[in-house]
Amino acid sequence: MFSNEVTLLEKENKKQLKELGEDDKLIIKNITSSMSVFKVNSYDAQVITRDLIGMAQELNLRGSSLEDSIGDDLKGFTYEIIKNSGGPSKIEIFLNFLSKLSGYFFILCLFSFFNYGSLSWELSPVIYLFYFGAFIILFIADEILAPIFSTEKGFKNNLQILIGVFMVSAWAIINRLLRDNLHTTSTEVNGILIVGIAGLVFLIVKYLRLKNIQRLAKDKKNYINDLK
Amino acid sequence: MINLVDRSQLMRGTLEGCIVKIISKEKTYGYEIVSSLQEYGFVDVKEGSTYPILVRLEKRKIIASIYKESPLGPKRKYYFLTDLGKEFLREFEIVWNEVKSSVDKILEEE
Repeated sequence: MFSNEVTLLEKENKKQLKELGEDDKLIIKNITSSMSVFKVNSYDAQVITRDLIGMAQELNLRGSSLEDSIGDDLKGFTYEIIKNSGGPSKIEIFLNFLSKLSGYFFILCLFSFFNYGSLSWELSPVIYLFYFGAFIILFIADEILAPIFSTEKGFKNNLQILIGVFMVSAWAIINRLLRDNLHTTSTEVNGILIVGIAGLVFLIVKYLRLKNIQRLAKDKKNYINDLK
Repeated sequence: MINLVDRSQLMRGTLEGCIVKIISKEKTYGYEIVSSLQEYGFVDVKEGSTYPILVRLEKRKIIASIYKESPLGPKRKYYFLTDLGKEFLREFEIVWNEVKSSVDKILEEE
């Protein structure tokens, strides 16, 4: 139902990536992680991934690898690709944000359901502030920090995880203090309502993303037919 | 020889035109472009340095691409010149000859 050029390319890329060696897989993974939603549009990101897989396949057949071809400057190589790719539109960034937000609340409700054993539960209203703040932090860690550090080597490569954990911990402490000071009472949360709204937002966003991708791919080559 | 001249910096602009010229001869793919450049003397060039240029040229619609069967295995991405690319090449040849002529004159002066 929601198949489009990007999802088809993504599926094909995943299939082809599995057949590559671990070193090439890691390099491609690091490069694609650098292609933040703020820098490269989803269509170009998949085309670049497909190109890198093709490059690795060709080099492997000739006894070489991506590492040999790119050399030590993976960061410079990635920077050049990103600089020369098509950037995302504001609507794409917003849809990506909404899609993740609805997915986050959906999972949160599922966890709560298993935790409380019912479809409604008692919760302090302040906790919503915590949930939303934690989501914003995770979004920043995932979409802004991870792309910055993904092509770094060693410790720096894991820096975004540490920064993310630190930010969420700090946010949890602030919320705890807020809750204690406000003396808020618990109110009943309707899990079904939240899951319903999150699901509806997810479907609407999926549809709008499909339309956006069709617009992005309109004047471009559809590589899916070529790859078959 | 001491490497006082930054070769990569000097090559940056010219490589783009050379790649377009190679593609203008026939539909070709990444590895073949690199091999051609190496045969012409760009021995340090690898796919890692040509791919970002190909992405840039494709974005500017100077070249376009298509996936075709490969005798070695997976399908390859073949690049070909667009009409805009033909115009780009003509302009590059004019500009390059002007630059080359100016540099030659300076270097040949006693």
